Amino acid sequence: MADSNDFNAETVQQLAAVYGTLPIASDEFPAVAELLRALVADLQALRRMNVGGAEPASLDSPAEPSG
Amino acid sequence: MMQSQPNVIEIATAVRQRRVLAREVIDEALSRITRFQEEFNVFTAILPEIARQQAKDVDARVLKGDDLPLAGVPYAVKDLFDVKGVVTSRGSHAFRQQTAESDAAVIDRLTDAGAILLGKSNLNECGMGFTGENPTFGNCPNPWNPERISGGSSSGSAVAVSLGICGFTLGSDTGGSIRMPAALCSLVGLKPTYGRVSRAGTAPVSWTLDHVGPLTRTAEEAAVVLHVIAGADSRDEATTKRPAPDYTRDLPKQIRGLRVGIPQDWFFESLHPDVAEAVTVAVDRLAALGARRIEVTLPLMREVLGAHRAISYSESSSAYASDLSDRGGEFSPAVRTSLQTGQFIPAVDYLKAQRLRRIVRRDWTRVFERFDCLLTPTVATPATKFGESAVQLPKGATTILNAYLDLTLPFNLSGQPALSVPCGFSADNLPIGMQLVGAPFAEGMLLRIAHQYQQDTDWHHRTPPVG
Repeated sequence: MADSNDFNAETVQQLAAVYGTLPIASDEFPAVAELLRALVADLQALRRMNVGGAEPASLDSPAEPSG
Repeated sequence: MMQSQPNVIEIATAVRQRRVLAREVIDEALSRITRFQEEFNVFTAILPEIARQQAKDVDARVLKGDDLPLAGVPYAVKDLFDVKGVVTSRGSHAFRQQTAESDAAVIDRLTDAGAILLGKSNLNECGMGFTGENPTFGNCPNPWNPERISGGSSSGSAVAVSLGICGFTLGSDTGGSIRMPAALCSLVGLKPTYGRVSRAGTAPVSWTLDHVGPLTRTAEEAAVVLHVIAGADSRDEATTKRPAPDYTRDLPKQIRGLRVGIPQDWFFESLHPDVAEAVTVAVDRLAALGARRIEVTLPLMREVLGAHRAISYSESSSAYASDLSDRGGEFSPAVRTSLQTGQFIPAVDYLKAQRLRRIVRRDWTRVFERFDCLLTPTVATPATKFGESAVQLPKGATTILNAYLDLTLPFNLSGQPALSVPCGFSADNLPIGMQLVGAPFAEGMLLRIAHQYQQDTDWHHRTPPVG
């Protein structure tokens, strides 16, 4: 996913073909692209953040003090 | 026989003392469904046969001397919860033939406690959304003003309590889906700590963000229900083994001297003026009860929002991948598009989100050591009209996605308990809620503060014009 955030119907169609995603009807490429643009905008702060050596949070009993 | 607004504790007490039969309570509740279902689309499935059989069983158990904490209390579950022999539609045409083979874990516990299941409540399709709109089962309007949304995705669960059909309901909360409709419908909505309540037999939206919890009129009722449904479950390995306390025990304790954290940013940055006013007055009320205000800042909010997006989109896309592949055409276009979008999130982003989650837990634990609960608005604006996609707030036009979920979703990521409690009404008589957030497993503290606040206010006694 590019940081430049230039998703459009055509780029989504190309990505879907390259990655072999689940089927997407051609008339829904624009809607997926619009959602992706919003999603990438929201991801910018997370992408810029330095998370150091933090491991991914555990998924079992994650609220326990050791989680 | 029954009050216009059923109370969990009063009903259970009356049934246990045989002042009323469970089957009489249920007949009354079923008549209210008949009165409201057509206008409000509260239920995706009404289950009178199950309800009447359960009522008969409860009356027999009471006669035998069983002590049932929820004896005869009518309830409903969001249609993501499995009920044996009943379709779990998830509010979607795509699951209209998926009949459950067993009950969800929480339903087992509620049946043991004497509660009586009336039906399955309406929701945004697959729990993905927050407006209460549903193209298959109809929109679920707000009882306080049917031109307005009830919130979601646990829309029917909120409306069923608001209309006095159920004493309580269960919802699920992935980004605010219990708390947000509770705020919009003047109810208490509790998202417990991740792992406190089993999700076994509940269709997933996003595994690591999903929580199950109650919607009620009061914090006291929520405490009674939580006490029944909380606890370890071998069917859900995320559940904690630490024992669940009696959540009603500390409710009578005053809150004098407790420290309430008031965030200085993010949560109060751009609110509808009526929301800002109501929450400010509520803070003053708690201070008058003896609580101490502590100014706090929660770090990493912008990163948390991105992490929630990455996780929720990725996990829901994965959870529904086979369904999308097999019968994608049976989902509504909005849900199908959302599920498809999740496929394009790189694993690197998903993992970074889960790494941030560990940092958030560590850093927020330190912040939360300074106070007993955090207090924020639950949502930035009262209920909007159906079809509105943005709302005008002091800092400009804001999408309803941001207005309704930005204040609740951080605590799905952190897994902390969070509760919405009614704290006022807008100038046009729409409910407003405030959110109380605690350290992990501090549900008792949140319920205590909410209960003491409700003892001092009367917002929860008001009923909607149609109720």
